[in-house]
Amino acid sequence: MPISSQENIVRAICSNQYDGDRLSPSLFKGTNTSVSRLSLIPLEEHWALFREHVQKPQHQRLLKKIGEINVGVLQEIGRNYVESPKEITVDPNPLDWNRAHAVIPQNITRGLANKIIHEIKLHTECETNS
Amino acid sequence: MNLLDIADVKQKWCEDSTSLLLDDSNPIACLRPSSGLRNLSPDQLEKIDIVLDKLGGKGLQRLTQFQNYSIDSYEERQEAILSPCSLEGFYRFLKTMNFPKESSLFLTDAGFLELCWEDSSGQAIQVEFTSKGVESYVENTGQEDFVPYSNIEEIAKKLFPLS
Repeated sequence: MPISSQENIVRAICSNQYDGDRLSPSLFKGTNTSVSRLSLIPLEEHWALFREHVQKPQHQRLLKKIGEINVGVLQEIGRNYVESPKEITVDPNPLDWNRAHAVIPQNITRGLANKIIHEIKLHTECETNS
Repeated sequence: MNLLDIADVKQKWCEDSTSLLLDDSNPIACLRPSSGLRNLSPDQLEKIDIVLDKLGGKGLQRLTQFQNYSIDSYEERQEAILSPCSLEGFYRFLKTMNFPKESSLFLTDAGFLELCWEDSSGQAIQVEFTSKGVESYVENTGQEDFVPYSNIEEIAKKLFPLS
């Protein structure tokens, strides 16, 4: 069953998809986009989780930010996307290393991904832990 | 970056030294000499020139990191590596197109290079170099397109439809 529109989800943003100025729309483009649920694991704990399992420091793929968005907002963006309205869901998909893991199964186009990244709230680690 | 800087970058790239360290603040520091990256051919040096000219030192630094990433990751196969087709398409695109040097260069999870910038009205223009061709997006028109590499010259019409 898809998760509630009240929930907030996060996505790891590494240096290959963020250059300090812009976010890559590929963060949300395509199918089965990985996200994680803040209702199950608080934001502060996601830093260690993503650092251990997502970033690859030996390859200069470093965790730079965590992007947060509300599921209801995400769904509204999909419905209001004029070029091709889309019903977006977020489905639970727990993994061994992340019980809060979930996916957006729909195929998100580049145009729609651009609308989504405009609404992303960016977190930095020092701000999260202060 | 002026011509002297470009010459310096080339020299650093080619010199046989292991003293250079990776450092985000230094656009040439990423040019870590490693096996296979020394003794560049004229063609490779021309590609460096093109990247520097079109994307500046930051663009060259990021591209080099993505290339090192693909080389180092080859054994692991757990992450998408930089697609050779994407890289070739990227170079061909750079030769063909003019766009702001402040563009952003990304590597997608699929292993494709992606360039993003804004037009004069601040609207996004984006291209992704896939294994088969160039995917483009022009926010001003909402248009998403695909052009195969065999017709890459056509991309200008897609990206700048009003010009």
